[in-house]
Amino acid sequence: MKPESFNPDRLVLARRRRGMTKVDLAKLVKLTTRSLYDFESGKAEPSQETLDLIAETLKFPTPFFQRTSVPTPTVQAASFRSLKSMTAGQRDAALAAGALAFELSQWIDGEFELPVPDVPSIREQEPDAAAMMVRTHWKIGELAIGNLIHLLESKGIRIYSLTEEGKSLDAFSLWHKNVPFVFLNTNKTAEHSRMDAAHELGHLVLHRHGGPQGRDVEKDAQAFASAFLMPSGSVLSVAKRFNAPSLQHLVQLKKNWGVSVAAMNYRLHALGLLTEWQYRMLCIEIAKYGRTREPEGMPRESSQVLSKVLTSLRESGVSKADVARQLGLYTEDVDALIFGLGISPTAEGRTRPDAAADGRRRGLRLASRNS
Amino acid sequence: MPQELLTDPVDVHARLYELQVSEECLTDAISAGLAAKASCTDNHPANFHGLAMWAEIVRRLRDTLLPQGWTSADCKGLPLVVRGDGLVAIAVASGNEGTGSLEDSVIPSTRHPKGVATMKVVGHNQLLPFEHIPELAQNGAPTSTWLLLHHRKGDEMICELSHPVSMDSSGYVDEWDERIILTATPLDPARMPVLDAPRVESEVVIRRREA
Repeated sequence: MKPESFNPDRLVLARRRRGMTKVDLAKLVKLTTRSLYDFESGKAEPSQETLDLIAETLKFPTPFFQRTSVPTPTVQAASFRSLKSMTAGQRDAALAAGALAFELSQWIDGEFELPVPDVPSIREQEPDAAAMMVRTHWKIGELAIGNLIHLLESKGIRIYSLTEEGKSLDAFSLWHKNVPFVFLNTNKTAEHSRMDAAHELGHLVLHRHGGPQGRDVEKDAQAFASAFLMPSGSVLSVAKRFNAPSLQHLVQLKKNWGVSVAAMNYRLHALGLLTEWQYRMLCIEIAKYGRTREPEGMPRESSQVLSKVLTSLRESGVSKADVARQLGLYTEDVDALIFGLGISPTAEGRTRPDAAADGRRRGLRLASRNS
Repeated sequence: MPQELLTDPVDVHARLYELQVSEECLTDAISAGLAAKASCTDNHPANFHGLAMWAEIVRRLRDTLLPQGWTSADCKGLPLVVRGDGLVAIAVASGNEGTGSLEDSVIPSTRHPKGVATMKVVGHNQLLPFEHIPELAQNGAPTSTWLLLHHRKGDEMICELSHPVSMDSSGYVDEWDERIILTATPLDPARMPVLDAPRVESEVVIRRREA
């Protein structure tokens, strides 16, 4: 029996999301690579039994394969920090997550009015200057930034999470139908993720119209991120030149701007507050502590938009599972995109069974036309 | 023997020039030691903090001076850095509260009693304080050893490069013929300031569309 309106694009999307090659999948569902190739290219359609088996193997509900095509972000459009260190499978899985986010985002846009994007495009400027221009445009001067995800969301940037196990992927960003998207890997420290978000903002601002990917582009985005999170004026007002800086000094200072000790060290050196030698010695101290651990780490940031959306839906009797069903997904794939809101450790680091209800308790405001 | 005290920056600079070591090199080493000490936590052994500082000063001196032709030496467990011609050596020691004092009546000493190695180099110092005469090197003259003394006073690290010529029976230096007082190194505050300006906090307003 042939399934109703099987869409080959959805099979490709599902397989890529799971980071599988055609050979991997064919082996698992006991098909020839040739048959799978035919299904994916639309030359043949799987029987209902075969499709069910594929769906079960890829952990997508069968209706997922019957939905209309969704644009998948391309490598060219997305800014990847460390493209070279990623395998093609990791890269495709991340891009496929982007496609799922587009669908979720489109669904949310149908239900809610979100802030209109207000991200200036700045070219031909030094990254430091560009960072200050964005701050001026957003009227935030040289203040330290509380919650960066909230700030970006208030400027119309859509933020989704990635839970890629391979730590080689930090984040990526792109423009989709004139809406800026940022994807953050939550398998990083909170400070690392904040720097990633600022780095991606750098790409959105500096490299909106694409161009070559490479070291210079990444260096510019990194310099932008550093200057955006730690404006020179505010750093110079607090930190002076050191005689004998230690890791403890960095730990205290970094809390002012919500960055890692490594980022603090880099910025102090860039601003001439640390000598080359002091900077290198501190790099060694940081390495001794462990590069993937952060001393006295801060709470992880999460999305305010998605939290409010979930709260509002919950109040009108719509659950996360309902949303997932409408998108032809299991809730796990939705959870992976929305910072695990409603199920997993929240900003305070405690497990909360219902973050949406928690949002209500904290009185998050949700304006409604009906109210 | 009266001690000669050098404090005027010009004199200090000139004398250090003769010794072929810059003041910056010495104070940099002190800073490095302070940084090493500051990186110790309460969970490090209590006696390690000072040890870490001392070791880092020695290391930093050697890091800077070896590329300039100096060599490392170890005299019965006393680490030295020795000028290329072998006539001048520097050892590192923490000093007592007399360190950096300009009063004639005050004779600084090391904080802790020193052992046979220090006795030996101080003994040599009594013989030949003419380290800047190059010809002596060829004649196998003994090395003239200086102590880089450092002592914390308030929020500063006081240091001097001094030439000991006598020690008492308990192992403390009791006479110097020359003391070069170096610029004190201010200590970094233990607590870093916290930004008092408010932070950017953003409220994202979203609106439910009408059904």
